Amino acid sequence: MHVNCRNAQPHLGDLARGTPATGRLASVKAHLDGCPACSVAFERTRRLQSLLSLKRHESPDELIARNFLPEFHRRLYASLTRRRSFLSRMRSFFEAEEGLPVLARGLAFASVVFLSLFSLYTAHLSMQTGSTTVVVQSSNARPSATMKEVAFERFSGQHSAVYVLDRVSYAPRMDETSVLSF
Amino acid sequence: MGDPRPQPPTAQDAATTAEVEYDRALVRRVQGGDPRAFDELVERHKSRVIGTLYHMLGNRDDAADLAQDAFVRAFQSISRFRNESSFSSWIYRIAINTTLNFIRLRKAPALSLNEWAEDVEEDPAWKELISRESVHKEMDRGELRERLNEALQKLSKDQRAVVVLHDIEGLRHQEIAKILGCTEATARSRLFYAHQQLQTWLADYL
Repeated sequence: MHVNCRNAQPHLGDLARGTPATGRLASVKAHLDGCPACSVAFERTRRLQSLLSLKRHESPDELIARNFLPEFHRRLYASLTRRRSFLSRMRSFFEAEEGLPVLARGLAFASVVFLSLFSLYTAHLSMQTGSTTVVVQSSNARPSATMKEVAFERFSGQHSAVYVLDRVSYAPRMDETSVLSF
Repeated sequence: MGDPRPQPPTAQDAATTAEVEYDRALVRRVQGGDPRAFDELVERHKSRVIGTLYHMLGNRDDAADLAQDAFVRAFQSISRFRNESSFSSWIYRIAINTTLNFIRLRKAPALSLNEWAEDVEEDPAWKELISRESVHKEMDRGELRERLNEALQKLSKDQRAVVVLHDIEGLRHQEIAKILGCTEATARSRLFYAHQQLQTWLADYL
């Protein structure tokens, strides 16, 4: 890639710090040798970095470093014994690597429990056939019938039971009012 | 164009492979249930972390406070550290992200600075500075220190982070990009624009 002033200047900091001029930096250095403007920019960058390096002599107090570990232990103990907020605990749970598998196992277990309970409930409803009395006026027959409750209707929130006629059979009988119980 | 003068060993140079391996062994001990090994990690890295945060914040108490937070967070998350990168980069990333968040939320920076060590006058950078004709011979060290800190604090937090990591701590762009979660080109570009501004503000000393 051709090196010009524009794309050379972001690399001046590396050269000024003494990074070996290999690869791209070698091209930048070659450009500097023939470009007075970039040479001036390089010298200013070098001086600035030299000035900034003086801040290494400005280190924090010795006292801070000496008390750092005891203070760390105190804070760590406080953080471990402090009751964390619900949101914080949830965040930690989802951030933890083992969080999602635990959640998946929990959901699977909850699904099995829910489906089992649901099956028991629907089975219970289907056994709960309605008991009613049907009066049949018949001149020449004695019908018997079985009724079957439609359990799903009850489950869906319609509390009035719905019955369908399942089977009717007739037994010959003359002029009698039959009272059938189901 | 002057030849680049020899630079002191960078922080990354100092972090030799042996040191990185030793850190990894300590991390494995912590992960294996020996929390005392973390004390050694704290002792090994506290100075650089506090120093970096101090240069970013210009306030020694805030720096110490945030460095403590960073180590506590690191301890709490040590089980998730995969030992692929160096512990040094990881603790830097936690500390700097904590600090960038702190800078974003604080209203105005309150400078609380330390004096330069006496050995600054032995530094070749200092000798070169006072040898320049453009710089006043009786330049006050305290004044220069304040000007440098004020200029750093005027930079945006992202630019300041790159300047501190590159020019003061001596990290390479590759490492800086990993710590800040950006590309190397972005880190290099931030440094370039930060240098342009600093050269304007510190023109008296260049």
